[in-house]
Amino acid sequence: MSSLQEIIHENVREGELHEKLDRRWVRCFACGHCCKIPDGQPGVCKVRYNQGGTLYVPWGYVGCIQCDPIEKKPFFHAYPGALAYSFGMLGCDLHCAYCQNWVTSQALRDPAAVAGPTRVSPAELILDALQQGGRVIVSTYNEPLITSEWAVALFKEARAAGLVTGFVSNGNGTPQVLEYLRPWVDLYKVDLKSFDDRHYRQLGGRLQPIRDSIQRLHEMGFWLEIVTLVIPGFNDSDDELTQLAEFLASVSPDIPWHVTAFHKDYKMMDPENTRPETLIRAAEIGKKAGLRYIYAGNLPGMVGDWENTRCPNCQKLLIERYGYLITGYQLTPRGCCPACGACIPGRWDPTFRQQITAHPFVPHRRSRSDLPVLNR
Amino acid sequence: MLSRTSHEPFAPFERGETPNERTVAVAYIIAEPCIGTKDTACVDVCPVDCIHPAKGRTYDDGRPTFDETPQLYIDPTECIDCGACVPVCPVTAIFPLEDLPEKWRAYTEINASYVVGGKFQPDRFQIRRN
Repeated sequence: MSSLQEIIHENVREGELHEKLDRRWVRCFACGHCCKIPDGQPGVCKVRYNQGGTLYVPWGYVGCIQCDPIEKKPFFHAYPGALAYSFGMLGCDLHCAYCQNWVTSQALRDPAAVAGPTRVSPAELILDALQQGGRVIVSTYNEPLITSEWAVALFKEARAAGLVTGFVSNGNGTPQVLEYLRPWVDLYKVDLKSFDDRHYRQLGGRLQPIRDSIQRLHEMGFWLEIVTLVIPGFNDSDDELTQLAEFLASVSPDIPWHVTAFHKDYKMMDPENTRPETLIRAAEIGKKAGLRYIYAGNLPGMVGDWENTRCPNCQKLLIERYGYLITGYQLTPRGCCPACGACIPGRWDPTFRQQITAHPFVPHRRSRSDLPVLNR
Repeated sequence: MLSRTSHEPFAPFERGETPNERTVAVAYIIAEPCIGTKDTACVDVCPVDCIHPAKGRTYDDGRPTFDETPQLYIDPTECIDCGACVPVCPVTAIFPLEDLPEKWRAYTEINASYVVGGKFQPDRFQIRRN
């Protein structure tokens, strides 16, 4: 029986995002930690490691696969209704106590988090994505930055097959990794968890690299949306939400901001679940800060108009949603308001293509039967 | 149910704690084996530069420098609990708080007596040395 650690260390290749230092140390650029890693040690993420002065990175497997509506990512201004074929890898550069994907993200830190990888080639995975009706392929569930080389290999294949590509990330990036990703990643969601550096340090990171990456992602032309999980007593003060929203508005008032509800998970079981009133308060703070597209998520039917997209110019209702379900779509083929002609920033199809699913599902066995499961 | 092990990062919020206040010094602690060793591999790997004093570095707040302190200290406020320092220490001096041997319990305060949030603590450090 191989340990998960051994399996991870057998499915690697030399990474690109690093520089060699003296004494056979390397410096990794995959995430904002920029770990200096001595020979024989892993980085903070535990999946990128130095052996003999060479940085090895994950390659050739996925930790989990699921078909999600793109609204679940959440992207609201990119191909509404599209099926987002979503894969997760293992590991994370942070260790949030409330992680909702801890089974994959903390697999190498916490023995209780068990996720078995499935070996797969880019061609096999993309074929499965197409067979499921995927329009978009997304690296999500764990932190995609730490497996950027493998994601790019998959996304090159995906592009050739006509798929759109995306990252769902904590945004703890570096200039080097964003330059590396820019040719191959279309959509980028950052989970901005707080606007207080002390809070970020509790989660295992720092605010500054994330602020810098958000600014850079917007300037580089990724389609960027931001989500903030609002946690009572952690990041829901008027002051912190105001600072966060004003920062986003200063980058661009056109960046969609999703405020979503916390539910008790992993090791954070004390704060109460977020109430709809709290999300509505956060949304109103965002509006006051000047943001034009604010969405209160994951409490379907409980947050009034905050699930919908309205024209910021004439207030016409453009996209109606109930949870992940699109219930109305009025945008013109060019993504503009049919009433006043104002164009809505985003990535729009000429017509609404209907939804394959408004619920997540695990791909049917038939299409995965040829993917061997690694022995554990 | 989850079991807590040495591999596990610190849960930021302990039961009964107000999430907004970091009421206990949750971080890694450098204990007695560092005294007389001061290897500094930990300083090199720390991704947030929270281990002080760094060799050859001068600080402008009057704090004792590398040659003047008996050991290295982790700033409990700046530490992100990543654990990168633990495996590189040649004398096994660094522990997550929960695994700190009882006999070295005082080192929690000793670490916090040097710098907190990047600020030198002259009064606390003086008391500690006397």
